[in-house]
Amino acid sequence: MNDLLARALDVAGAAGASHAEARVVSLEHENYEVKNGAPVAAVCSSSEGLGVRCIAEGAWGFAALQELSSAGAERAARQAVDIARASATAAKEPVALADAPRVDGRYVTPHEIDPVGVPVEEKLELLSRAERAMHGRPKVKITQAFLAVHRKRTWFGNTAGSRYDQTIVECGGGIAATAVKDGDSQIRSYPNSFRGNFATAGFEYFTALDLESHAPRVAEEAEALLSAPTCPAGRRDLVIEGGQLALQVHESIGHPIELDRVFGTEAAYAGTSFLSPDKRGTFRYGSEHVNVVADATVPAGLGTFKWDDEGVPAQRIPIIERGVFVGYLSDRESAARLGTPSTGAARADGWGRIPLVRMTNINLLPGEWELDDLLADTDGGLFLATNRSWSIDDRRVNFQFGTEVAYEIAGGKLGRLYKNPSYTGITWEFWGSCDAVCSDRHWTLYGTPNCGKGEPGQAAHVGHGVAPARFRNVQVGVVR
Amino acid sequence: MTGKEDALAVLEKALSAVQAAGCDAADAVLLSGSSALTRFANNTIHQNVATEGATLYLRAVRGQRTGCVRTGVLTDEGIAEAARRSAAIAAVAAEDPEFPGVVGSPAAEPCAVFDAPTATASPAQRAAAVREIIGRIEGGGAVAAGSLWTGVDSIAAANTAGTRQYDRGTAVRLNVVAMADTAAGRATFSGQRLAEMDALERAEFALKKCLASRDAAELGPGEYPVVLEPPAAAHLVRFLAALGFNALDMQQGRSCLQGKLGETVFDERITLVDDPRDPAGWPAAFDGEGVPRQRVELVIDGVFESVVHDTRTAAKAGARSTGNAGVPPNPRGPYPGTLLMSAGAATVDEMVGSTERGLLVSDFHYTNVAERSTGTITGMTRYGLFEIIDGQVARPVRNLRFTQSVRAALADVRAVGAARERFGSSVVPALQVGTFRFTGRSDH
Repeated sequence: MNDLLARALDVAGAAGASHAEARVVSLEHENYEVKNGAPVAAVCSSSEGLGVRCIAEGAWGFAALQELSSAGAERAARQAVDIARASATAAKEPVALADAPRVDGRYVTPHEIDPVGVPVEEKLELLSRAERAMHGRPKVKITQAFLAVHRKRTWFGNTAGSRYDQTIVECGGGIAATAVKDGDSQIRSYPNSFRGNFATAGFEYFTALDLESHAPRVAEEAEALLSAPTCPAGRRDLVIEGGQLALQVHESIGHPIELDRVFGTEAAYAGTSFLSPDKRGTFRYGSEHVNVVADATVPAGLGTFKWDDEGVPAQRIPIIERGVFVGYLSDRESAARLGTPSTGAARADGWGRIPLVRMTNINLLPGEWELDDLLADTDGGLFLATNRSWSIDDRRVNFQFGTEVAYEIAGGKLGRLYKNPSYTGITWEFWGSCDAVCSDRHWTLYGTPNCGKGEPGQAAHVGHGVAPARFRNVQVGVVR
Repeated sequence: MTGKEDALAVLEKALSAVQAAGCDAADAVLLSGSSALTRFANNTIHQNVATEGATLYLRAVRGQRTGCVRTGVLTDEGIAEAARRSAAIAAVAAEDPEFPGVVGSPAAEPCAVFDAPTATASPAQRAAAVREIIGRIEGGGAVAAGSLWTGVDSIAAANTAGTRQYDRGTAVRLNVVAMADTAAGRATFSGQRLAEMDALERAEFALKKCLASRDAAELGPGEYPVVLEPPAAAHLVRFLAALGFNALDMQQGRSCLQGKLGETVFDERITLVDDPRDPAGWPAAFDGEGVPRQRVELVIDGVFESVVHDTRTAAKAGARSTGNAGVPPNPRGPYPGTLLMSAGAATVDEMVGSTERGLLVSDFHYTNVAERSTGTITGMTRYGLFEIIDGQVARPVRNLRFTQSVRAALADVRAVGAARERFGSSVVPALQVGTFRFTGRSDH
């Protein structure tokens, strides 16, 4: 592959590129779903191709194709330069990049059991057992078990002499039970909604989820939701569990800190950010209990890697310190505009897409509370768990989330069950209302394998480490 | 983009290899194409990409057992490997009692629009159009952002029951946003021919919206009569399609229209069809199972008339597939992908004129399902929200969050627009709705 990279870079340089990067990506993906006793999806996917991105006449161009040959590399490189020259006809300033170290090496995310190598029948049997364990409740009409395996190998090179060969191995899954009666349908999931939880790990991660042992509880809770009352509207103190809190971090911290959004380059699609550069170092994002890092080095995170797709080494950077906003996620271009080094957050969805500023693992650092103590201290509040719905505005200010369940907190314990809970707020007001975060004993990494951004659309695999936390006086129950 | 003979040759190889591996049957789809997208922001082109590729979708069948493989490696070895893997999965998968088998279909008359000048549009052509857009918006005192996409796609489908289908088409998608501080206006174009796109007119429209949206006043949440311009109305129609007309959801008891087939669910001015051959929409000859697509009358004069089927839901219902499947295995079921809502008689000005006090909504952003059984969705307004007072657009107001049942909104329609706009594969007019529930506010 290094020969292909070298050929593409040489041709791009000879055609007039002042800077070029080439990536060959080989992707293996497996997706399994057992539903109501039958394997409705058993899909193995493979894809490989070459993408060349370059700067010529001060502007960007990118071309990608599947032809992994010297001729293909030459064609992609020439096309990328042609496209860059067209970009230059509508350019105001030449593209500038923050410095990046020259890197060279090979890396594979740690894993014990290669999930691609596990026999298909073993995968399907584990799913079938978990799915069967949700049977037996007449109102539970849909039972599903999911498993996904992902292996992405990237060979990277640029005209500054960097080269790497990086393999990211991911695995994960989950279960869901849907109860249906009289037009109402209620879902419960484990370990998270929307197909489960995922990590950079081997098959050992999936088996450790132990889906089968959680299945009876999941089915029971789905059925119980049908007869539960709707969560009443009002302002309440909330304790939010990890799966939901991970998405809250994702939408109301992870996206606003993307520096390309701040500079307007996503304005016409996903939107911008309220987090203008003048806020760095001064803006009170949340209470003193809110400490957030972007950490591409944490083991098993879905946003964990060794180098990003511009060849910048993975980093752990502070984002929010004791409630004050201190840093952005950036790539080399946006970092240059801010006058800082890149934070190593340029990530591309495969060979056919350019790197964008993407989340790595955006982690809410643990506090000191035990969950039992926190519940005992929140009498009259609600415990909300497992995301069901999400929406946030184009500047990441007003959000609304729905969860699968809410429990009344009474007498220090979880009490009455409510269905259709939702809550809404303003980003900085919500994080400002946080007055407790649980300890590292309750801290879990959640993986989001479908973070959408960009045109053409890209899906990034990102992570969020969180522990349950409490938020005071939040508006609940706007859906009727 | 792969030509017809080459595409069908790939599929023949794949089907033969699966059968040679001991399988009873197989079906295969080849999607291929090339696309180029020129993206701009801050009055400059900042991203500019071109991609070409093809993917083979292959399903091997052994009785009631199936295995699926998708591959972008289309060499002889790659196809053989895909066949071997799909056959191996089918050998170990449990039986799926509701798998209807591979169904043969007659050849569907191709209907996608192929426009050679669009297929060969150059980076320089796209850049010229973008320069025109930027020039108009920047000259008007705003900042331009957006994208211009041109592409060509082909789809071929074949199976061991005799199906052989092929079609190819071109596409153009323009998105133009004009911004002034936090005010913004947007215009789009979806079509099959680049020559039909009027970039300057679209820039002018976005700029006008943006300038009218400046200095927005704050307005509290509450229930308001609304006039939804076509981009906003399209959000409602797409979610109704996703939550209401899928036969699999209906069979599972979780459609938002459950139990209402044959009933008057919506205002009598609402008629909605899934029509793959209406040239006003996005022509598509067949679906991901190679079944010819049909015109399906979903809602006629407010009456919920029908759902859409793939071969699985059709077999269970004792019906025929309407040609609304995705590529196998498609566990989420059929979807009406070419939605056309019938036009009414009113102009947007007339709708505004008949509103004593309400809101004119240009577009929505980040809409999502809030509560499935009632078809309730939530989202934000975007690209211009205006207060209507005494039949006049009185002032711009800051964006609001809505949480609203689509089913209820379409039952409360007071007027349907005479002009329709195309958004991707949906064609939708403006709608005037009696009451719409806004539940939160933003800062811009």
